Amino acid sequence: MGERPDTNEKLPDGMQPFALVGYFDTPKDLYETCEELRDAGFKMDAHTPFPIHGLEKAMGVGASKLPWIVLACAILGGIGAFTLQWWVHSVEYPQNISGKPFFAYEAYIPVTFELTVLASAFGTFLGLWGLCRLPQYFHPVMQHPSFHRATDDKFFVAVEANDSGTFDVDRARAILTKRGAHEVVEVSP
Amino acid sequence: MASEKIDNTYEDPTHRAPLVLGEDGSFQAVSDRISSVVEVPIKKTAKPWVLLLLMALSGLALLGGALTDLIVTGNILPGNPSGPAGGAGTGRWGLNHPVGWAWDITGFVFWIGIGHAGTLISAILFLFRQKWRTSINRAAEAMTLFAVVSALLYPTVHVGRVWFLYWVFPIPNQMGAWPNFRSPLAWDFFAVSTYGTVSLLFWFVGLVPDLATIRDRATNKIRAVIYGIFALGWRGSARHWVHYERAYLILAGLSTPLVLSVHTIVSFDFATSVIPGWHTTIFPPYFVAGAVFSGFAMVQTLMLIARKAYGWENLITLRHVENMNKIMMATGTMVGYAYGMEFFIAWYSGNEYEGFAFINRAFGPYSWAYWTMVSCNVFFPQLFWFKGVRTSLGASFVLSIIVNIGMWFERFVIIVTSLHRDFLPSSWGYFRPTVTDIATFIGTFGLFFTLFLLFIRVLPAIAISEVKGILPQADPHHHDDHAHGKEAAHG
Amino acid sequence: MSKRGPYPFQYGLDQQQDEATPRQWRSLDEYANAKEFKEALAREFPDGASELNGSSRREFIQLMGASVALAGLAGCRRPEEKILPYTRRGDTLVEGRPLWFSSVVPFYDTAIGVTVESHEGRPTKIEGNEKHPDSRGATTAFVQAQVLDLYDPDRSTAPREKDRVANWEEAIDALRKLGAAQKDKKGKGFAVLTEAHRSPTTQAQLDELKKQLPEAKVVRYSPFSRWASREGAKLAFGQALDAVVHVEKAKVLVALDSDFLHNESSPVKNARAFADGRRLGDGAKSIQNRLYAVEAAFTVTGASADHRLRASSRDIGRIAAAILAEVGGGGAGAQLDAKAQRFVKAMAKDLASAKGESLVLCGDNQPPAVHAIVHAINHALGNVGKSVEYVKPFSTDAEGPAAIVELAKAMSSGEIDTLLILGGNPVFDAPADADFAAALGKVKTSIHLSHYVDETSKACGWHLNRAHWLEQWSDARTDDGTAAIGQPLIAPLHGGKTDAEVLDRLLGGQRTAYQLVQATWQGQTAINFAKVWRKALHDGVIDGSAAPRVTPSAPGAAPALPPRFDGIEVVFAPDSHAYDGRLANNSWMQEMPDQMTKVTWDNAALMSPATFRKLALKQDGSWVEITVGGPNQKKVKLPALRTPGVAEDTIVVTVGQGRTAELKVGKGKGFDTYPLRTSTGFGFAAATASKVSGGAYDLAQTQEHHVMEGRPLVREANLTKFRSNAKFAKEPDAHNPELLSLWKEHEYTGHKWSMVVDLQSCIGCNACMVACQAENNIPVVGKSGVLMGREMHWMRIDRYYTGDDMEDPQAVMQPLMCQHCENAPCEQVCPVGATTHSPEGLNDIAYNRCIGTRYCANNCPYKVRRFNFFNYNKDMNELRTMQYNPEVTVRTRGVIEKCSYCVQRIQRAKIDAHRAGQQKVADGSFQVACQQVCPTRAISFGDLNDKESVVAKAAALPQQYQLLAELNIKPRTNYLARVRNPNPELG
Repeated sequence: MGERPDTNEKLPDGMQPFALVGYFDTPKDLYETCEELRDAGFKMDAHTPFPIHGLEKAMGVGASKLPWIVLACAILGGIGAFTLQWWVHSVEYPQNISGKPFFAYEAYIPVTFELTVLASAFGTFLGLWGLCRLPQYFHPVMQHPSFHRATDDKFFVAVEANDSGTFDVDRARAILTKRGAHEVVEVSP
Repeated sequence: MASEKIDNTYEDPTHRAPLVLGEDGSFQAVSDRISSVVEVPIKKTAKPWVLLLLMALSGLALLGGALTDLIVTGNILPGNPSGPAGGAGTGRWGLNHPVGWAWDITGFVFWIGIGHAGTLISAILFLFRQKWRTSINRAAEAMTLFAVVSALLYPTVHVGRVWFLYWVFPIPNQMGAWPNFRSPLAWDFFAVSTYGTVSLLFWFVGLVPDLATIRDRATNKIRAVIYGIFALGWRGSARHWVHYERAYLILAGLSTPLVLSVHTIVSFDFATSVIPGWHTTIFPPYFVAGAVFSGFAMVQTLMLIARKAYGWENLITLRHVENMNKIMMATGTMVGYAYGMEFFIAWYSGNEYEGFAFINRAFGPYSWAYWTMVSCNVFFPQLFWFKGVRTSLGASFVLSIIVNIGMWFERFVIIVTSLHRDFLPSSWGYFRPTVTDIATFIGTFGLFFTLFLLFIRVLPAIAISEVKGILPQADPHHHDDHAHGKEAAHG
Repeated sequence: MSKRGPYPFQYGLDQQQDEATPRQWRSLDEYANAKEFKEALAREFPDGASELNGSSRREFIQLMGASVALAGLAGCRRPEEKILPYTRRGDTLVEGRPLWFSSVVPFYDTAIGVTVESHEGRPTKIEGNEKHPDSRGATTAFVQAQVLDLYDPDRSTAPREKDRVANWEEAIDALRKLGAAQKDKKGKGFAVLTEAHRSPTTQAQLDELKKQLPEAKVVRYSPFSRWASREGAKLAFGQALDAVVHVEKAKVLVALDSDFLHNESSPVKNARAFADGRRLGDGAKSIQNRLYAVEAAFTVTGASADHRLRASSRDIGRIAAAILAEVGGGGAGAQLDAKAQRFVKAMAKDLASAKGESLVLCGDNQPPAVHAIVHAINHALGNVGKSVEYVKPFSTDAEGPAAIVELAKAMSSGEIDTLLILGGNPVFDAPADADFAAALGKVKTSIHLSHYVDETSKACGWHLNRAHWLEQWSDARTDDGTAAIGQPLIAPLHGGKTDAEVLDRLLGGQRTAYQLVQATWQGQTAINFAKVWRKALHDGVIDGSAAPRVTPSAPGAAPALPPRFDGIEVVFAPDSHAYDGRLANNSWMQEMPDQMTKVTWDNAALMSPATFRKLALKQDGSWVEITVGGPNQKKVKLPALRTPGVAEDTIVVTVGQGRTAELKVGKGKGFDTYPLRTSTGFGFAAATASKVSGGAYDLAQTQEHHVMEGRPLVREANLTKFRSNAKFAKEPDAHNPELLSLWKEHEYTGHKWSMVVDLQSCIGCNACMVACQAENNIPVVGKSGVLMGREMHWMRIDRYYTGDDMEDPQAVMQPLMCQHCENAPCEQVCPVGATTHSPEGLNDIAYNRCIGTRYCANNCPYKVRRFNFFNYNKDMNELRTMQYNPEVTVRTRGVIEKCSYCVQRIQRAKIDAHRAGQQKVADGSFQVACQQVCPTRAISFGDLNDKESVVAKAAALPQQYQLLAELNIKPRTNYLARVRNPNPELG
């Protein structure tokens, strides 16, 4: 779709923007811009149609904590499953089945394994959305007039306002324009 | 388009063949080509698709009839045996003493096997960084889910008292009774339901970014809202992508042992029994190999159809077809080895019952089934040694179907020929399917294809964001001053 | 109907019974006699009560209404007169606890004493009576099944005049008129046709009748009776005599075409004596007897024999003559082929070596001449008075095929214009040359008393519904004359009458069956009749009622035998399902597999594979047409079945199937072969057989593979090998490995129930199968079900052919029920834990926990678990449900069932022991159903932990082995290997 003229790129005076948003045509431009913004001490987020390798480093974002959540779930699932089977066959409902011992741990392995995996999978799934704070059907950056292309073929960067005082709209705008960003727009919170 | 002529199946160690072809390999082109299928207005739906759906739906109706006949009334389908007072019951199937399982569990194992390729492609190939999987993994995963649904149907309705099936799960109850965790069948229920659940989660996680794409491309409100809801407000945030990629990796890591465990446990149903022909230690690896074998065959069948129907030649290339054929050849050969080893061990063990069971398989009343199995699963796949066959769409299609037939017979042979003649000759019998047996089996195909066709129509059948990710220009350090392709995305 | 009747919905009342009617039932009876209720029942219940299929929902509701009411009433219908409970089982009725009453079943031309289990006034199960000489606690399949006949919805519920449903008032009226009319003409032109009955009371009435109507004719006829033996005695000794055989006194037994262990004379008594003579318990190292069987058909007796010679029935006479000559009884002997010659020589030598301790039996299908020779042989061997005794025949009335043919002639000629038929079904089963149906058509007045409106009833002017022996007072004598009183267990469900009652009414009397029976015995016991009566009812036998023995004069010269005919011969045998046709409507019997062929629901033309090939038949079930010569040729078309062991050029057919009467179970089942049976060819006849094109008929067999494939399932040895190595069945080899356990096994400290099946004693008579079915409410699945391989029997008897010659094999039998493995493979695979082990080692199923995965059945190496593929008890007729054993759950659709070691009997015994203050159940204080019924005591059951118990001793015997022990599943059921006692000379 055609370029929009850069109109009302500023918010009315006295209104604190949430972020300054613009986009590029290639991952390369985005990547380099992020590096520069990071070095300039800006806090930012990028919005891309697909994961861009190394971008998190370019943005100065740390690794995900997800694995720890999953590990916890796995342990709970495994112990829970094994305990259930031991309790059922040894304590609650002991039955002489095929003359085998009441506590036959060999037979409990498969179910223990399956439930461990199941718990881990749910941990991953819920952990993922939890960490992403999703579902979240509205987010300020979505106000950018062309944001619908963030899932298509454009590579957005959002320089986020914060209270630490390091956020200077004009400096950010300068960097973006210099890098050739399109539609550099302030979005309200 | 011209690119169809390009052969990306060449083997050149210095150069990787491109995974995705086409001059207009831009990000937007990928979105367009894949999403367009979903975005076609209902009125403009492709006629062949409608035709196929109608066929699938009639299959589904047949399934409904068969199950009603089996469980509720027992007088819908003709020519079936019935009780003295008529009525429904498992007897509507051709089962008897000694053959307590036949087409029911055969169908179950058959579908579960097919359900293996999806996860295998998404998970194991992902862990091995086999990028060529990206064009096919979405559809393969969908296929997995629908195969598991069809599979679960069988253990559900094969029990004599369907309405008490939930007793298999450890639910506290006033009877104070608990399931028997020593039973392989109980393991089965846990394994298969876990497998289904995890595959679903895996699949959905993969779908979210693409749902967002369709949401954002939406030209009408309803579509935007519906896809929007499932997209969970995904906005491609780099911070999210970090978690996302990690989550995807973990799920892949979890699915890998899971997919191997499922058919292993299914094989325990037989391996832990005392029946000659069932009581076999080779079963777990043998079943897993067979599952991969049949799974890839089914993926091949379906993808070749979709490829033709939607003109995805550039996304599902000959390279994909060939790679899948290679896997089929490999697993087919493993299965063949298992067949041979069973006979060797039967002889080597010196156990007369075991020995008889296998002689009876090959030369007994069911030898016709045995030799169908051997030729479909062992002999025909050997044709894949020839590159000409591997890279011929027609041959691949035919062979993939042959393999599916063969794998159904494998399960039939294992289950029925072992049961119909075991220890005491006095109780030997013979199994013949009834109309209800056949209707139920055809019906599961109706169910499977109905779900698959709906999937292809309403969801992106190829992982949009992943395909974009393997385009050359997707690499942030990529310089587009020379033609992409050759040293592009490592396959 | 001004006055209330003694029974609910009895049509036509017999006023005489009022004073006997207990007071407390008055209101109930009044209710039952309410006009509209009786109409409702007349409309709904008697006809089509079982016809639920295709009846509208509204009809269904009405029907259930009516029949539920019936079950309610009938359920608490106690007999009118005082009957005495079998006190060994406790003598007062406690609701929920069964009572046992002694009674007697006339069958096999003898009588078998029984004790009948009664739940709240409903007889549910027949057991043998230990005190009765012909039972000694056991019964046969045919006797077991008769409790089902009692509740057969097809039974006639009212007298009929032609097709009009009448009532007993009218019927009795007609009888009295008839009797009065006959008295005027001294009974000229009047004839009474009875079965080969054994009832002194009926006989007394007949004698009375003959006194009052001297001109009247009385004829006895049953398709199977010991008539030929009596005739033979007449030929040999000059007087008709009944032979009473004592198998227990014989060391050498020869059965000439005789199935004496299973289907002739006193099978229970004979089988027990035979088995006792060869039991290898308690270190016994020797077998007391040796059995030679010379026969055309392969019978149960032949399967139990130590030596078996295939010989067509026409040659039996010659073989008998040869034996007679060999043992020095005179006669010219006969020309035999080399094989038979050798066999006969060795056999005769063996016989001669055991003079006075041998016994030769002749089959009922052999003509009197052959019987005469056999009588002579026994006489020559000095067995008379020892292993065979003679008594005067029970009745002197004319009997046998010739007699009924003669009667039929008289009827056709008009010489007989009035005929009273008491029981039987001559139109169906009389010899073909009698052409009884046509003759009956010529008779002016004809009356038929029978359980069903059968072929004969349809052809008679009057049909009278007969009382079942479980419904009325009766009495019967065994072959040696020992008498027993038959007590009713329930008031006649449809108000039927007995033979004696009908005769009494005919002669103008009005006594009840009770009074008639008492009258008979009052006459015979002078002092203190009340005491004698009490004891008779209590014990089930009348002491000292045996007939005096007769010592016959030396036999004359052996009668000449008819010339041998060539070509095919057809041999007639009673049907294993329908007997002579009387049990054709009994679904238990129809579904019980034939002892040898394992065919259910049908009869077939049995022939050896060679004869099968000779007739160019393609496959089992191919059609063959059998023609029996004579003036009016008779043809019958039926399916052929290859049966190893049948003599060359011999076709064995069973009679009794192929009923045409309105019987919901039996009509059209199998094929009627009576048309082939004439008075001249009564046992066997010259015939021609030809292949009939047109496909093959489906014969539903419960066993389709007949050899053991070299697997050690039935372990067998001959006596010499057993003597040298008594543990031959447990040779340490692949099938008897040393068994180890990977874990500490559960211990059974309390009771440790176990079963031992002695294959040495088992003759494979199937009595246990039917007993199990009756005890455990096991459903029948119908022919289609059996064809699908879905029979539900909890125990089966596997029959394997052994030996190399499949034309002339030996056969072995193996009863197989759940083995109650301690490491049961079925248990671990059940996902819901529906089948688990009890602390006493029973492999239990909780039916209501079972979800029906059938996994356990698949994983059972013995394949003894049975699955309810449908709800086999759906829409079950209310009357039939009265037979159900209330102590056993009736299973629904979709659950597995199997032998429970009769857990309900174990529990009852435990409760009794507990109430008696005992710690444990004493050995022998109860029996499981199959054990109790077994004529040969082949099955023992008890507590292994009780070292003194019979079962523990049996399990410790050297020939003990366990089936499939190598699987380390530790079956609780043990088998005792079979040992044959061959004659060294025959090798």
